[in-house]
Amino acid sequence: MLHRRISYAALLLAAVAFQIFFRYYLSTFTLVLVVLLPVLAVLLSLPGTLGAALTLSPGPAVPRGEQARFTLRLTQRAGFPLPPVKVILHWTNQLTGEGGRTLCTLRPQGGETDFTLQLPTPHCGRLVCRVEGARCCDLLGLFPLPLPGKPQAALLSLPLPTEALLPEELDSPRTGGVVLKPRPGGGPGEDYDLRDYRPGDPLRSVHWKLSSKKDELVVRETLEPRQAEVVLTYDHFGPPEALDQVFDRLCALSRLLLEKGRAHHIQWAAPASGAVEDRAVDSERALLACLEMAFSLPAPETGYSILDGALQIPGGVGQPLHFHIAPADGKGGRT
Amino acid sequence: MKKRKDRPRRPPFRPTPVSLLGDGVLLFLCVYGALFSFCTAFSVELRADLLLAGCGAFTLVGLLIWSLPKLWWTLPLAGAAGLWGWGLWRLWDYLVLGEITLRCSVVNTFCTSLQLDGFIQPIAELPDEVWALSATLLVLAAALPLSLLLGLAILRARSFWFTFWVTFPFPLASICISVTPAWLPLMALVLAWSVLGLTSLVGRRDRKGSARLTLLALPAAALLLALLTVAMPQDRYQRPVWADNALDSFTNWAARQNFALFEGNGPFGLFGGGGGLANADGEVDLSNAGPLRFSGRTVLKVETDLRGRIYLRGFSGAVYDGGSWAPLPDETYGQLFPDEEEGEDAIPGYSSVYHPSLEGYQPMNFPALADRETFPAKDYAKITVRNVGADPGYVYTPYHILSQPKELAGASFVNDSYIARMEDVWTHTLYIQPGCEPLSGARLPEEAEGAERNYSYFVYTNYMDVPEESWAALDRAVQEISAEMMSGDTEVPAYQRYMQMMNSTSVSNWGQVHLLMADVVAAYLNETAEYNPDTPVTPEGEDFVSYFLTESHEGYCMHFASAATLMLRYLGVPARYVAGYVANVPSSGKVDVPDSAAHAWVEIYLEGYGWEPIEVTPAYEGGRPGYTATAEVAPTPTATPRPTATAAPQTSAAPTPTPSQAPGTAGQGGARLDLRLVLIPLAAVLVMLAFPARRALGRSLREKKFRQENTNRAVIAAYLQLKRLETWGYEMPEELFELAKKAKFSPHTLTEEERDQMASAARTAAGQVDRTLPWYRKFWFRYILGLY
Repeated sequence: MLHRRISYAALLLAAVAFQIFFRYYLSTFTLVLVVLLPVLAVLLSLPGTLGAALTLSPGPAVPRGEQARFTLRLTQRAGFPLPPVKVILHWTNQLTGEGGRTLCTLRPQGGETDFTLQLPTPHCGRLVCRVEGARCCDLLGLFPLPLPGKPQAALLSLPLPTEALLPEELDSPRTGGVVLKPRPGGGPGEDYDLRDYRPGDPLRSVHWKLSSKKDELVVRETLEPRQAEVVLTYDHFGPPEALDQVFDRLCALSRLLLEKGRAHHIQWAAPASGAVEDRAVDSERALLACLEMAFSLPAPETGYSILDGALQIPGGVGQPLHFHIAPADGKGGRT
Repeated sequence: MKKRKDRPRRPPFRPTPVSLLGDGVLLFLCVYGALFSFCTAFSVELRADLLLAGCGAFTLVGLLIWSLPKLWWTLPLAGAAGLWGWGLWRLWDYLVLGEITLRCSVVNTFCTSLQLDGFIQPIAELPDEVWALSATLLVLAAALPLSLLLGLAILRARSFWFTFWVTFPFPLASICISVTPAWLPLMALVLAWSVLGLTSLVGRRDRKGSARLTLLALPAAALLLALLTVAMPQDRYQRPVWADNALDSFTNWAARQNFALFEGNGPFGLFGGGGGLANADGEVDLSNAGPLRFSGRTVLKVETDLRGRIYLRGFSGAVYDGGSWAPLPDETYGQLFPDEEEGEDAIPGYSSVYHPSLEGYQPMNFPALADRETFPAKDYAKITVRNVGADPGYVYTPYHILSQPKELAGASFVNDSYIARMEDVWTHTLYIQPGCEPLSGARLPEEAEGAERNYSYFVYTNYMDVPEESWAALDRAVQEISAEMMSGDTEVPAYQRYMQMMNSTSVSNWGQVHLLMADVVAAYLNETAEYNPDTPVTPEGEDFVSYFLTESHEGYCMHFASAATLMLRYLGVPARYVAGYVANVPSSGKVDVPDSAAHAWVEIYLEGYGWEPIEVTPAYEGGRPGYTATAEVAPTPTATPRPTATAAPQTSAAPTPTPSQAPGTAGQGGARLDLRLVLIPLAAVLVMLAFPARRALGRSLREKKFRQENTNRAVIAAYLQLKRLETWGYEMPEELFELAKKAKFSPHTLTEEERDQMASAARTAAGQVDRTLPWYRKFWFRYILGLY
């Protein structure tokens, strides 16, 4: 709109010169009119400006390396035309902290006008795009008028699919990651365990023969084979390239576990506080939710490791199978 | 021009009724404004009704042709061109006559405005109706291609600049010579330019939205123009001080740079006088004295100790030739004002050195010197006059100046006629002897009496000439005065006083007699002629004064002063014509003198006293030109001609009106249009726009309520809308009622889905109700109640 401002300045100068050199009423009238025209232009711009709405919608989640798409839509509800709208879009990868800003110009033609923003995704993460500011100008193109609303949208840049091997602990024919756990309610069974009597234990579970030998009540507790909890952990810090590898492997392993029907937990420590984040993953959707959670947290260069503290399984029974995913090696390790 | 690839293509042109209405109004405004601006500015006499109808018809033609798809243009354009050519061929004789009348109007307006000679008039003697019809047909012949061109610019190209440059030359031609076109067509053009400018940014991309915006901008811009016109009345127009100062500075700078371009009195200082550097010639052209037109601009800024009405003298005319007043030839003054010391310091062509016969005295000082000599205790007064727009050749001074030739700074007495301004000096301070009276008995100092006697002889030698052509009229006037006086029953006070004086045994003071004779002449003119600021130009070949005294019997100050001067000379009283300004000084002592204060009066010479100004114009009756006082006096009821919007420059102190048409009198050419013709459709458009505005407002408020963040309130708002629709036959489903109850009474917050469901139901219900209604109920439902 620079040329319009220059044109108006020239017009104003011409009107002033006309006022000086033309001695009659028309010159003053012209000057006042030229001064007031921008006010009229602003007033006439208001219906169109106030009736416009901006929405920002994300495209589908994309694998790392592909183009992420956001669609900016300008809707003219008032039916009055709008001059070109300039929108400043700010985008950032919440995981890596990378970001940028871009200025796009929408040229409304009535109804809805779309603008597609394509962003590169060199790393995994949650890309958040928001409208920092949107403004059109008045009908003469002199004054910027802000458009209401600052929408934002987000999408995920997902890890690339890689091949993963099931850990031996899980693939072992002997245990197969299976542990014996007390059967609720007891009952007959080949595997059992003996322990001291606790108030509330049913009398039929008392091992009378052994109790008489030991002269104290011993209870026979029937065991049943149950699968051990699998916990995948990783460190939520490091350079983006290393994190990409971690998430590639984490996702691959998680999906492999899901294919095997093994629900599992993914845990990491908040790099700043060391607080453990735990997400149960029992489906692809839960995995994506877990990734969205993880990708929305910034990952600094260094921080607390999940290995610095004791492993915690909420509601878990028995020793879990723990696999820590690190960027360097190709396997996880059991702790 | 480089075209950006990302710029979307312009949508195809598909006219809608709304866009056709807006574009049609714009096209009509452009065609009407351009043609009528030109015709009214140049005072072309034509049939306004016919031209207006033609503008409307050609607007429709342009609208029709350019609304068609491109493939269909050829045939209608060819048809229009054919009809146009056929019309030219059939009406060729009329068009030739029209060209003549148009040429005459344009040339005469230029001559009038630029104060040039070269007026022309048609040779053929035809009825006025024929000339008007011919001019109208010629303008109509030009209107068709103009409307087609403008139609292309507005409908298809939607280009502000295209439209502007096609229409701008029409008013520009007259503005360049300071003639403002009639206000209504000019405003129509400005309105069209404003709307096109306001829609230029969005017009090409969004045709539908632009059409709506045009219909919104048209009344809004019209309202702005109307408010401006009302808020800034033309008849009270006062040019801004800063503009005057800027022009002053600029002309001074131009003077220092020796830019001859800005010499002149035209609108931009290009033609002949007005703030420039033109020398004063002391001449007044009477032959072009037509209706008075003033702009109301300030020409003099006065600051003084004097109060009340003062006459600011510019220059005097001594030689009358039937069509103008001119100063005495320089050789006549040879004995009195020889150019002995003409050198580097003298103004070229002027002289401030006086012949020994006047002993260095200046006749303009005689009354003040006499009064000062007789009443030395009187305080003198000071006056500062700044020339900001009057004829730059003169220093405008009140009467009875004490400042003598050698005491003047930045100015110089020129003979006995006026004080000339020196270059680059625009402000002058003079000293006045207030309260001088010719009959006060004041006597000149002895050393000045000889000079006065010599000058008196000069006056009686040179200020008594009356051209032979005027004798008959003057003789007739004098005889009428004599007959009235001799009848014995005259009721004219001036006549009675004169008779009383004549019947007395002896006349002791001839000055008193001359004053009474001046009163008699003024009274006679008051009795026989009427003051009329719109007096037309004296016909060519007629003696100005004779025609006024014997034929027209109407005129303004120039007519009255010229006639009185000659009558007084004819009666043996030395007299001369004076031009200047009349100012009413308020108690503040500061006054801006507008150009409408320009005036002309008479000076008579009283032996032993000097020149005494006499007012002879009835409209200024009661004025005492020679009276200057420092005390506050009740202002004399003014009869100053009301300033009107000007169509011609008026920069000279001499009121030299022009015969050009001003906006207010444009109707004489038949081109005046009743304002109601525009106001009525404007009101109709506003009313038409009010209904969709009501509907849009209702919809906007409704949607705002439906989309509010508080979902419970949004659901309740939608429920209330549904309740209103029940009176129009809508039956609310039970689930919606339950939802509304939940929103009202449940402690839970409703979800956005529930809110959207309710809002959607309300919208759908309104649409269903709307479809079932007859048209008149639908109108009420939509536009009055705003429910859909």
